[in-house]
Amino acid sequence: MKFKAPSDVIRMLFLASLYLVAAHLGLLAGPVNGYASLVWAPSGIALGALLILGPSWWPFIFFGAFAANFIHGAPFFAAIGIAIGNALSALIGYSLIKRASFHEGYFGRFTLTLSFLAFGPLLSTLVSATIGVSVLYFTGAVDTRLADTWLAWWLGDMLGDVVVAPAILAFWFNYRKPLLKNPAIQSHSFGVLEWTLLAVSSALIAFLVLEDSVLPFLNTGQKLYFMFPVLIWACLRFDLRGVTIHLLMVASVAIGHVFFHARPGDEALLHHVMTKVQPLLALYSGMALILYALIEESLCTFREKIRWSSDQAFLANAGTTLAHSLDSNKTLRALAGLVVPRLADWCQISLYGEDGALEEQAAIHADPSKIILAERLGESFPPRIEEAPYSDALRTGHFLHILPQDSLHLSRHIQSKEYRELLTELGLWQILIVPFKCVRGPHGVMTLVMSSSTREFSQSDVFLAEELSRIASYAIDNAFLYAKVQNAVRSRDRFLSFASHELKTPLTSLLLQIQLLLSQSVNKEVLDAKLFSKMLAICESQVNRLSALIDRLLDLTRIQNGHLKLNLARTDLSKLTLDVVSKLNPQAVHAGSKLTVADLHSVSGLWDSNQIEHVVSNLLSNAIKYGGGKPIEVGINEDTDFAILTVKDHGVGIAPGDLTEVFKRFKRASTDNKIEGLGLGLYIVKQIVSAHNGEVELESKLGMGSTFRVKLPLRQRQVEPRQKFSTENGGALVI
Amino acid sequence: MLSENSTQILVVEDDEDIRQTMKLALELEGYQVHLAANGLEALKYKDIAPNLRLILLDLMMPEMDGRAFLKTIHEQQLFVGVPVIVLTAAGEKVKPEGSVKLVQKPLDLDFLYSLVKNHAQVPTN
Repeated sequence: MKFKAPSDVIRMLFLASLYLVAAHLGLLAGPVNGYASLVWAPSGIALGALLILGPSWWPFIFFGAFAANFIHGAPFFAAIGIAIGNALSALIGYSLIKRASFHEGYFGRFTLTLSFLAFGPLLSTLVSATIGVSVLYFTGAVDTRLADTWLAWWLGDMLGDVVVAPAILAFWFNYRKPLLKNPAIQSHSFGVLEWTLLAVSSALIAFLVLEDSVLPFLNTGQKLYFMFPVLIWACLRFDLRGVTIHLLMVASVAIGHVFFHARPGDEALLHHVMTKVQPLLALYSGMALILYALIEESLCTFREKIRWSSDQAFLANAGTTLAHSLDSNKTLRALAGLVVPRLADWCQISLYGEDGALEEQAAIHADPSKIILAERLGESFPPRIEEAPYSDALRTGHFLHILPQDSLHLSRHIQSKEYRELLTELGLWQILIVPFKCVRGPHGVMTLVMSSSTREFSQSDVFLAEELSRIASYAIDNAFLYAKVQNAVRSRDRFLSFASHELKTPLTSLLLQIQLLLSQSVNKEVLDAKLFSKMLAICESQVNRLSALIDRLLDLTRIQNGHLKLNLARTDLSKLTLDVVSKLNPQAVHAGSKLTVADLHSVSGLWDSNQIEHVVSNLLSNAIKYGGGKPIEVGINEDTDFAILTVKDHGVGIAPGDLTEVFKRFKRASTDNKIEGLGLGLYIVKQIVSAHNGEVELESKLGMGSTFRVKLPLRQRQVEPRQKFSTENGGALVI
Repeated sequence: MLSENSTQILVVEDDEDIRQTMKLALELEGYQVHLAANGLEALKYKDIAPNLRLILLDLMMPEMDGRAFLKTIHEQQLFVGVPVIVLTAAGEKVKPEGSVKLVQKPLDLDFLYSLVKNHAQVPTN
């Protein structure tokens, strides 16, 4: 036995003294041959103490027993022997009981209680009785009535084990539990009153049974049945403590009764005690404990069943509630409402997009006055999923249970004072972090918190939380996919309206021209050939224009689906640029923005000339549109790896926040409020350039103008262009 | 043939081809056509407004679109008494404020002629 602290020494001494006192009292109470007694409390103390503290505490038994017997007059070696026997008994009892999985003084299972009774009171006590009597015989302290002595010893030890040991265990392990199991009135004094009532009635009933002068027309056996109502009351209303109190009172009354009627050398009484009272008491106590175990076990099973079906109903209801909405925000709120207060005191749920940005949030508290605080916590201090403990939970996909000592530790490490204050207000005792990984949608975490020690997360709570998160993941996935589909449909509608507008424009003039031609040819006899040729030429150019437009629209759909095919051919960028410039020059002049081409180097590369023409054309059109009537400079250059096309305007410019936004589909810069159009130009430029493995750079200043730089690789490292590129915002074109 | 008493029409349209075609079509019917590529250019004709009988206005134009033009002439009381017919390729259904009619593109030639004939009127002073 290693003494870890001074308190251990004190404890050992205390136990030894307790043992000594109990033993002394026991020995005084009319033993057989001076050494055995009716209820040998010390053996119960010994067994109980070892089961609580551990086997290494056996010395207190040894010294206590030795001292008691030696003081009582046993020869030295006899005292030693008896002490050994008692200690050995307790140790054997301890090890056998422990091997039967008995722990924490739990008498709530039938098999465990049976093991306890068999190994403790029944079998281990054989050891102390046998050793004790043998030692006394061999040292000459006792030489007559060995069988009686042995029987008394065994019965006495047995009663000590069966009455005292469970009492010690019951009061030690159930210390914090409430007084009554299912009290109708929640009141401490009511509990105390009932306990007192139990003790008193146990004593009275025991007296009634044992005292022959009470109800003399019934014999003891018949009167025994009166015990049962009290016993059953004890089992149902009280935990083990109540049962052991009942047994202790009965045993005390029995001892008192014998004591009262005893006269020195009264052999008949002794015989009566040993053959009737002791065995009966032992049997009754054992049965009481078994009854308690059986009742507890079936109550437990019953409670489990109720809880199980309640859990199932809860989950079914949860499924319905969560499936109700296709709005992920509503789903989260519904989820929070389900979780609190059944599973936790407060909770916070957050959803994150692929880039880790917080997308949705919900928070709720069982105490309505604290809901705002919970929401504020979620907004100001959302969980950082890249940090532990959230990152661990998301990575493994399993829940994370943070126990009180760890949660305190965590909260001490928080830097922000406001955060710590919020947490204290809301209450932080136990935390359960449940991740949900949606298949396609955003990831999320649900943080459930118990604010105080009155509640704990049980096994079934954790199970329910995990199931809930699974259901929620489906709902969120649904919402996400639904939003995606809606986006795609909107995208398609936008595109269709754009396409139809674009197509109708050349069709308008084409139709008019043809109708004009028709009316002219019908109405006039002399046809103005020159006029006719002019009109037909316009028709032809418009058909070409329509055709080109249709091609462009097809390219657009291919770009949007990521299926752009490039026809790579040797292309002279400067020649191409000059072509586009001359085509757009009238427009530029009209807008007041003179197009000047500077730094024109002849640069060639393996590119799709059609697509590159679109790029140049789009950039120039944009420059004209937003050029504000100021000149536009176009330049072509090259460095070691790239051909560089520069388009510079001095117009309205682009705001810093919009620099990446302008390249997104359907986006127009914030300075643009007069110019209609669908904002696809720059998006197409980016996609085409990316498909060529090139880059687009943009510099701009509001009010000063913008410079676009397109870099096209001179040598294709991979000849095949990138076939698939991501569509942002998760949108897809649906045609 | 054009004469001093020819009905004057203003065509406001950003597409060059459509502009030219409509000019040709209307001139062949004897109207005098003025052209503007967008709302801002159209405003430059405010001085001849008393002589204008009709404005054919496209909606989608750069610089100043059809709606902005209508708002401006309403606020500044320009082109008073001159009916405005709005042309659109965008599938709009509701005619904007200040206009007399909304017409979808592409236009039929006969329809164009009847439209102009019916709506070109002498401005009330």
